[in-house]
Amino acid sequence: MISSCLQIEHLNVRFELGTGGLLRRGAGAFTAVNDVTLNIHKGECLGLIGESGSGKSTLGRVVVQLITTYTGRIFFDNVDLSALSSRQLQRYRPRLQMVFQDPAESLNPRFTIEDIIGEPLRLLRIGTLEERRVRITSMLKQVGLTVGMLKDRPGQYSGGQRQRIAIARALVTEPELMVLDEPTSGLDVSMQARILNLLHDLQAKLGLTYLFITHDVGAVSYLANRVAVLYHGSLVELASTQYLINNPHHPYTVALLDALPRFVRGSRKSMSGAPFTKHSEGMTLEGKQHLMPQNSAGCPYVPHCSRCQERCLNERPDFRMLNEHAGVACHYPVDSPA
Amino acid sequence: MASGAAIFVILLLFSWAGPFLHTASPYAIHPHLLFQEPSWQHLLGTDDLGRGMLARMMYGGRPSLGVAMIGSVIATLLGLCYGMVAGLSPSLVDKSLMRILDAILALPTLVLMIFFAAIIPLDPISLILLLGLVSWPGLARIVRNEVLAYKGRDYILAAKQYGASTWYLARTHLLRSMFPIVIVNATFTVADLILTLAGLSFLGLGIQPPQPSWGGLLGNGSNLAITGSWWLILFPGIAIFLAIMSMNMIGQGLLNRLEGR
Repeated sequence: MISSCLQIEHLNVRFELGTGGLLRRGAGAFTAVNDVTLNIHKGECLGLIGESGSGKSTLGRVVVQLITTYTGRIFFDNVDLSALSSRQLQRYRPRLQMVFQDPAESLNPRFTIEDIIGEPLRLLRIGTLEERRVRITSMLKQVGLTVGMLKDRPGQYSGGQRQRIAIARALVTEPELMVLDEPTSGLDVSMQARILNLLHDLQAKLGLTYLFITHDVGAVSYLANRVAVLYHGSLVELASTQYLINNPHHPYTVALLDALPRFVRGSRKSMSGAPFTKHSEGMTLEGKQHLMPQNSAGCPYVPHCSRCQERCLNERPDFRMLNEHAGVACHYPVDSPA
Repeated sequence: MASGAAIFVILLLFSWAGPFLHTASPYAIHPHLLFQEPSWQHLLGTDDLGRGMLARMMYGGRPSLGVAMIGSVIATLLGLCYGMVAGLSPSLVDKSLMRILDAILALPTLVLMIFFAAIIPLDPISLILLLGLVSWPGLARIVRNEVLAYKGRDYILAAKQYGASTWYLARTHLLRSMFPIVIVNATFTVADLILTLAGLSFLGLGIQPPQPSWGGLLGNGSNLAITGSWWLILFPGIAIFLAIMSMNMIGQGLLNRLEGR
């Protein structure tokens, strides 16, 4: 039995729209995460993919307790984080860390690198001044930077080096679970590969568990053991990485993988058989998806689904395991051609 | 910026160190020396009571520059605190604070000063407080908007993730991010207050005679313009002009340097 690092049970996150203003009151709420149940195993890298606005980042922020206005339960180390006060949460914060997408945004340009990496230690009151300095310098070396940078400011360095600084800051509290919120999407391609390599090495060396949020299927297939696909806040498919890439079952996953340029897909055959079509099975993912009513009874993917039938309109599919590799939330999953 | 700073330092030295070189009293009346044109005996001439303009200019610089500088510090601190509190408060509190600010901004400074001049004695201390109290709303609004702009940054989120308190965020991240805009605003406020104070003194609402101030000297000179004593107008005018220009040069230079990174 694989032990789990983090368990998410029936997580819902809703954002109220149009707060303030007498006339705009009652504009409704946007459901960013919709009844997600997910298990992150100890020592694995769980990829989380989905298009922009699908709730990936929101989910990540809930996991590190940056967003605390959610319903549902999150178990970390057998403790329900949702039941803890902010003071009690403080004890768990060092063990849950996050790397943000854009290091230009996530590092204060007016702080020195020493201040940046030391900030979690100061705020969480870890160690004495001397111990902190030792930790900061060892972190800097771990992520492939030099001690000479300590007094510099992040603006003097490239995007890749800044992301290394951000990774060092996240690692300095010796976390068990790291949420990586699109850590490579702000970088150029050669840097992406190096950062992914670094993350891979660090995971092996430090026994970290990753929640890797991205829309880059290439990066996911490199780093992740399993992949969860999110569509409009709902978990539509969860499978081990290689299996998912070769045998996507949910129509949305099929569309997502088919939307990739061909060279990334390797040997996978297009579902539609046509070698260079961007979308298979008449899929179009354009349009006003975010305006779609979210509280209707049916499957959220109905407006875009070519396999949609009567049942899909009225009954929301539950997430179920198809086999030992994959689970899907679909009444009529695509059978793999392979 | 360097030349602006140089001019301002010269003005400061002129006002505070000058009297040690030129020891004449700014208050001593010489009935036989009325309206003397600038000459080697009286470098900047004498006024309608025979007082040396050079000494009066030196002593007049002290309240003009001092009140403006300290007033600017007070205004900056007030504006910074008010703006921070508004920006970090919940939406409803923020909105109320901003509407109060609108009300304060709607009051014309000059009318306000005339009102206060009528009810409290005008000495440098009260002028510092008055000018400080009327010139902070602009900065408060800037600071509040900056706070809103910085509040959603990822580095603020990151710090929150380590359990940072609002006070910590305000003290470190926000203050450091806002430092350039605040310091630049403070310099421009000094220039502004020099002009406001000169205007008030010109109208007789600022520094009260016989204590000299540049604005007061200018007002006195303009009343006596009919006597053809051009030096009574020219020198205070130049001093006020240089003070404001140098402060604006410093402000602009700081802006370019701090924002340019």
